[in-house]
Amino acid sequence: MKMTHKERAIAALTRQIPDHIPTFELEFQLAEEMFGKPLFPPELKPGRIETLSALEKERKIYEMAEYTAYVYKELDYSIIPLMMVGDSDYWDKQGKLPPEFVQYARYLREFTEGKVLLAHHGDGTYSIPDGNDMYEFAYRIADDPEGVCEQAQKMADWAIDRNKKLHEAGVDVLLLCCDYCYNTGPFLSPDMFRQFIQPYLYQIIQAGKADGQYTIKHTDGNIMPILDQLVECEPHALHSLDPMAGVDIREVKRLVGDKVCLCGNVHCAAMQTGTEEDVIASAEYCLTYGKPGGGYIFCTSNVPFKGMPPERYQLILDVWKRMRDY
Amino acid sequence: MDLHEISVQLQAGKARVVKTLVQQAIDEGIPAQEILEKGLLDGMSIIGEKFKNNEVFVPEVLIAARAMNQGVALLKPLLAEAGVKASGKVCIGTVQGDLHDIGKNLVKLMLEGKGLEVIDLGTDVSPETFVKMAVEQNCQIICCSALLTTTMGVMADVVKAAEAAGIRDKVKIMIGGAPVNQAFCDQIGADAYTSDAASAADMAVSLCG
Repeated sequence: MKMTHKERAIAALTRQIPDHIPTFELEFQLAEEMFGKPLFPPELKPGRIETLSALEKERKIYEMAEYTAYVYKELDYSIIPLMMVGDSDYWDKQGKLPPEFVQYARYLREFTEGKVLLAHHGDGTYSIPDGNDMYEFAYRIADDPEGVCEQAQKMADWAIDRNKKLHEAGVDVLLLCCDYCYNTGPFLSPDMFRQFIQPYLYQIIQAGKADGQYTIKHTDGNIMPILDQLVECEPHALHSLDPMAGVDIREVKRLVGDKVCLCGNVHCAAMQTGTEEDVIASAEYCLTYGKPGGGYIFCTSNVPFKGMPPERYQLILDVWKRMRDY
Repeated sequence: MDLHEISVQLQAGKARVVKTLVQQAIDEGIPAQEILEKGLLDGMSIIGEKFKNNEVFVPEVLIAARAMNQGVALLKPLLAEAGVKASGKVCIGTVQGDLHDIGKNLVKLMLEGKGLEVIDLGTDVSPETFVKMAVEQNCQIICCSALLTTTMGVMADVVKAAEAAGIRDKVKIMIGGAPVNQAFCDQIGADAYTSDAASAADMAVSLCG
């Protein structure tokens, strides 16, 4: 029996077998190249949104939601990643959802008739720090581990509070996108990960689940040394399964496929620089080994990023359409 | 005193202890170069190997490097006085269009841990800047880092810029970062690709030798 996108995504996220394998991406950056204009209209960007009248703003948000629904319908996504609309400082610093976002989510739900899952970022754990922050973080771990834990708890509480607001605004899926790993392995040792990240990630995931939200934990890099800890946090799905870091969906499926839905593993670098044969082979491999028994969502190992040839993305969608049916 | 103890304490990231021990070694009249090599660099070298084997992780490397820097600060004037020079000179940067610096910083630490002098050009570095700085600073190696598939092509431009400047036979070009591999290194005509920071340092030492 044919499922709606929502039913299909939920079946996969709960490790059941849907009518066919669903697809989605954490972000889709090729809307302009493939559909003629970007998903985020320039008029709603900071600096311009303030110049719009209330009526103009509402009109633009309506059009943005309509276009978003159109693009993702064309792509056949089962989960739509929402972008933050309105004053992002209001969200980032005060933890209050901008009314523009609430409006956008409402319109989008109307356009999709509630038949697609809506997603937004919701992580609040330490990710790999950049630049000098990396030094400071490492020194704090050595000099003040209790302080690092205290801050981790505050970050988790903050994320849980914000995720409740996303839930009220109609967000069904939390995308937990703090990166923990390089290609060579985790930033933190497994012991440090257990001390400074795992308990807090667990709290964020459990709080989201208690509210009925689905959780997709994303991290780039080689996750294998912390795979058990990620799974212990009980997310609905693990995302990325980065093949550039040597993560193999076949092996991950064997190890934890009975505990968590798997997303990703289609080789993004091959999509950028490999041959068409490489791209097709990667997509076919993922579908072959991710599909059995359900609990699998087809997607790239990162996102269809700006600069990726659109025809390469279309190529993997074609493979997916050919192999997706159960 | 036993310089091995400096190495051990450095590996544990005990910066204050390392500083105390290095001062003690200086006071005992042990030559600065010996303290550097048998104490500090030995410790960093072991940390580098353990990092390569996933036995220690980035924070432990950074904490060890902090301990090393405390010791090096005490030794620097003595090394200069004795006319001791670094075993090689490298300029390193993340290529133009790419602002990611984690990998680059790790390689820098590992290079310094091998006793090489490192000129850090930062991120978003143009091919021309790599070449200009290599010439001005008399570097034997240019190290290029990239995280993005959209910027890795700049590494080929660095090779071309070095050729155009007529320094290609004097400077080795190393590349690294998530999207690159040996095939890409061969394709653009760079001299070496390494998959991790510790291997990059080993490679740089051999290229300087």
